[in-house]
Amino acid sequence: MRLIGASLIIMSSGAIGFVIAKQFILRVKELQELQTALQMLETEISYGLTPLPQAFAKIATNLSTSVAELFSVAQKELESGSTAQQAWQEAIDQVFIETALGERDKEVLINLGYNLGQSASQDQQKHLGLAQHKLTNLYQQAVEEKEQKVKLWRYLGVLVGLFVVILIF
Amino acid sequence: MKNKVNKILKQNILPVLAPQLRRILTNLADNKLTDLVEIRLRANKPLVLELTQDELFIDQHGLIKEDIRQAYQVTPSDITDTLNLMTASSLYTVEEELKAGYLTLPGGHRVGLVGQVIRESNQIKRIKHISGLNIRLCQEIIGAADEVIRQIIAGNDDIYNTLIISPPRCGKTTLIRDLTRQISNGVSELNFKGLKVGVVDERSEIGGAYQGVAQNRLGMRTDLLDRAPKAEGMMLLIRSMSPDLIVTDEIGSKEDIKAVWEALNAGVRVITTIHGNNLADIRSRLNLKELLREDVFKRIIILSGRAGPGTIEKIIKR
Repeated sequence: MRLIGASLIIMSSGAIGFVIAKQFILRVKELQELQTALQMLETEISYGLTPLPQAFAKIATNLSTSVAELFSVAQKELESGSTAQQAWQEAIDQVFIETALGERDKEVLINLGYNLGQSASQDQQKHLGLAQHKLTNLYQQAVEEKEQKVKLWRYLGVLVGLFVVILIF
Repeated sequence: MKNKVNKILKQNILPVLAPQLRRILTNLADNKLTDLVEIRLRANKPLVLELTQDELFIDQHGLIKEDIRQAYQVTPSDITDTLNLMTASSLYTVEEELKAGYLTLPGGHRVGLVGQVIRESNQIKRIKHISGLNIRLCQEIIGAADEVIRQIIAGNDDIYNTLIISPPRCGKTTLIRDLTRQISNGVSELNFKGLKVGVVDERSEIGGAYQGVAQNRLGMRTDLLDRAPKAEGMMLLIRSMSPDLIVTDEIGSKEDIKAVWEALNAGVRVITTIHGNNLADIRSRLNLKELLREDVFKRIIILSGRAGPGTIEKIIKR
């Protein structure tokens, strides 16, 4: 009986640690996908002169994480008659909670929204370039953070479980 | 006719207007809009609807007012929102159009733009801070050329080179569009077989093309070259599409005239239009003199707006 209780405590505590660790891995993946997405958007705008709704749809089908969701919500909003900025903001509001992204990542995305589609393609490229640059920095930080914290949280989860078991029994 | 304008409004125009303007125009009684020609939006100025003969002023509830001061004031954000809706928030896709000062909506409706011009070495590079829009409804009139076509066909598989002279807003584009359709499809009651028609549509007025596809009916044997400069476009068509006839709107520049000559020399028939009131008007223009001196245009059609747009003043046969 005691053994079952002890292992339950350790398992659940360990699981919490794993879930938190997972967020760090996910954030790296999502930032990576965001970079790819903006790169694609830049190509669509500068080379294909594709209107935003079509460009968003294309990006959404090519990605997998919540980032795809972000673009597909923005596309639907655009098609229902919102301006690019409104659509983008709405997509962030709806989707952000499902992502592992942080506040700093959000800020970059929101700022990008103010300029989306509102100028000539050269200008658009500059805005997208700036956002990409910021995301690259954030990505590097996210990778470092992941290296440090994934193992830490996994161990911490299990160890806290063990600690509680020792305290109780 | 009445239903047609309302249908155009509902399908093509209202969805791209800023929400506030959309609401005002939706509230407006249908029967007032039967001869709507243009919707004028100017920042901080009253909303004006241009009819064929008259103007309409509308207040914020969609009621018609006598006094222009009671009309709804268009706000700058009405204009930005409208522009965003017209371009799916993708202004970069219409860079060339912004340079030329107009864009074309699905359905072939033309939107003229004014604002602050950005110059580059004495040429207009772009229009920025757009402050005024003129939405001009495009109405194709099937059968507008019924009378004219009888005069310009030569046998059952040829037509005469034709020049249409007309002041603005007298229906020359409507006429040329329907001519294109009839010549391309053929006219069975006149025993006229269809010809291959190449259309160079520099300002997207004939085909009203949206993303390259004509929105107006131009006939089964028509190849549309949308937004091409006239002179280059005509040469391209002759080289690659082997047309029997080339149709183009509003020639005038030296290059245009040269291209018309080239087309004629290549044995291609030409139908084109030109701004002017009468033949003497055209004769006085340097570039065009020669074209008229030699009898290359066997038919010259003069239009006016005397009895409404599309009134045929005279058909000169030579």
